[in-house]
Amino acid sequence: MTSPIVIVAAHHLRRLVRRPALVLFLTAVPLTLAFVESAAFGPAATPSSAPAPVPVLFVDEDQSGASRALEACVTDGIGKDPLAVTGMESRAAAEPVFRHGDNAALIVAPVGFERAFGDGTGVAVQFFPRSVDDGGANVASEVLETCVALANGTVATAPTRAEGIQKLAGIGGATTKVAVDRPPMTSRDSNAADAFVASIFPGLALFGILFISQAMAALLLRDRSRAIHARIFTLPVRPWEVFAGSLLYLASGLTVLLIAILLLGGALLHLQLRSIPALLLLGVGFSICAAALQLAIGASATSDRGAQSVGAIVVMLLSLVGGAFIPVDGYPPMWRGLASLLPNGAAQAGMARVLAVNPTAVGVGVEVATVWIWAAALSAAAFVMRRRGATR
Amino acid sequence: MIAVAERRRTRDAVPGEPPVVPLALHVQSLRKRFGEIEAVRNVSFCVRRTEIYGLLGPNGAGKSTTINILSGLMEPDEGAAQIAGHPLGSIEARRVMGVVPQELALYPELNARENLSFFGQLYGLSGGGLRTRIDRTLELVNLESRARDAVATYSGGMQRRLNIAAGILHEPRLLLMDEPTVGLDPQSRRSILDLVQNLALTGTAIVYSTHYMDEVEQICDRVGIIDRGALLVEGTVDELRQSLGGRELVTLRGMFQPAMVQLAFDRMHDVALVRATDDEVLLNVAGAASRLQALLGTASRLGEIREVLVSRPTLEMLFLKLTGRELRE
Repeated sequence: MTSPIVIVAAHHLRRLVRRPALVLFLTAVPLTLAFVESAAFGPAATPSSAPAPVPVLFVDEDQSGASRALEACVTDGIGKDPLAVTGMESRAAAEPVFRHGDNAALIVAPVGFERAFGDGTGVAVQFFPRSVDDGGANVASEVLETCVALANGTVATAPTRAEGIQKLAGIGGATTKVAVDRPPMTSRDSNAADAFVASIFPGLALFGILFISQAMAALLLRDRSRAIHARIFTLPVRPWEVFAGSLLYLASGLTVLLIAILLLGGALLHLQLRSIPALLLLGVGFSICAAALQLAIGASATSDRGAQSVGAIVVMLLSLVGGAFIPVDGYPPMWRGLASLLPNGAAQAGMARVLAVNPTAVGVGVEVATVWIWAAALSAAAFVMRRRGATR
Repeated sequence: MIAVAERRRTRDAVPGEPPVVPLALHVQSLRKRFGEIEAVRNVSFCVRRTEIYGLLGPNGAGKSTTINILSGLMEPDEGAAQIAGHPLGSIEARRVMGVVPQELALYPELNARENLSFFGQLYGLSGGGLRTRIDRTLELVNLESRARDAVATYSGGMQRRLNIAAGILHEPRLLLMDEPTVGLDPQSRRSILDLVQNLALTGTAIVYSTHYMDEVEQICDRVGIIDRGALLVEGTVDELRQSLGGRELVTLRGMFQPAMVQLAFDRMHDVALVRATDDEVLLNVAGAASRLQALLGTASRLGEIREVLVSRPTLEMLFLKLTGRELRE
């Protein structure tokens, strides 16, 4: 004989499936938000295969063959694609431009540059980055270091230093690939955009689940006002079985919808669904949280309208504090701490890490534990409240 | 309590003597309070198999609270009940009991068959057995031709019949019905009353709560009159009528002085003044036909008579006699 829990859950799910338009509408909400947010705030995807060149200033104070060779290497040689080099007449002319412009770095070949080569004391090129953390400055630094290495190598392998310096002109046409230490660039320059989607999508998906849970719970609330709830409690079914059936209906429905939203996110927004067990643990746990929350609200409210109003307030508060439209990582540290204690904050942070970094379920163990502790606590609270409401 | 009813009740309870008809419901001293209000006060009664027991009383008398306690929706503050031998609220009791609530407890977006299928499964029915029961029940409530239509498209009477069907699908030994005909047209009411009588013939004991006196008189084997939470009297309809001592209700309409009416009729033997207002006097009279002339003579001295009505003894009269109020008040 089928368990009453399964009978109740299957019955409500069947009623829900009878309203496909509602389900589609609710599922579309988080996806639409993700599209809008991605388009409005995400990094624009560039159709070109190459990233934009990094603007750099170059001052040749030495005006020697060696310094001109270095400038040629940085400008037309190795630095041809990654850098956009502007030659400046003097350090004095370059400094105000560098201070107020968008250039990532200032390179100066000082007076005595060629002589230093001749003396064998090495090349003392001056490099001024705009910021040590700036990706563009890193690119310029990499290019310069490669050119300098080429220069050193050319002089070192020549029979005499004088011959080596003469050969330096050759490095201006060198095309050695430069290793660039900045975020990897794919053929569509889409990784940054994908990372952005991975960071915002979980919050929106979980907000959608909270939103959908309210609509699904409304079905049960209407049953109460129609006296169906009362009739069910006259049947040979235990209260906890009815509760568990309702919880199973909400949690399984929400889990399926969350999976659908994630799959659609993968298909439409290039979201990479990694570490499926971790995603499932977080998703199922959060679905139980949302389901139990709605059952608790329904049990505590005296009217359907009251339950809907309280539900809307709770969903908005949770979304605001726990993060929905903004990733938890973007919050101030104190607020981030509070958000990570909430079920949606923890689930969002965990899912964002899974989607962006691909840790195992153990890697997001804290988030998984937080979500499941909430799931258990909310379920217990909802059951107690429903039991009190059922028989007075 | 009147003597006949007491005798019937004690007959089931005589030690060592098997009951003539087994009890489907045995209610003992139920009490339920809501704050200061005592909604059910020491209510006790029994219902035998195949019996239709009417719980008659005005709105707010405590009928629905009693039904809610018996159906397990409320816990009594005191007292107990046994349903076919099972303690109140137990799963076993619920299994042998059906409930027809006053409100429609149906899923309007589902059809009749789907509604019955869900409730039937929760009663433990499944497969072919469930399908057979659904077919039989739909036939009984005359809804087989609309079985696949959404309940939302049904008329009020059809929805009421399906509401009953959901309570009888599992063929209960006791059926609790809380005002199942409220708001229905006479034709739909008649159809439901026929259905209730047919159910009793199949062996189901029924507790039928209503404030419609005519329904009780038509279908109930025994009646308990309830008011302000207390069961005032119980017995068969005939027994209750006889308890009025062959009295009739005389209604005088016109213009009167209530204080004078009280004085005048207090002196008359076998005439009980039920109520006197400026425009109506209600008298409970033994042998009204032979005493009508004397009554009218007295009344005409107290005011102006425009209309005289003599009614046979009814449960309404009994209720009036017991409470001084009409059932519909």
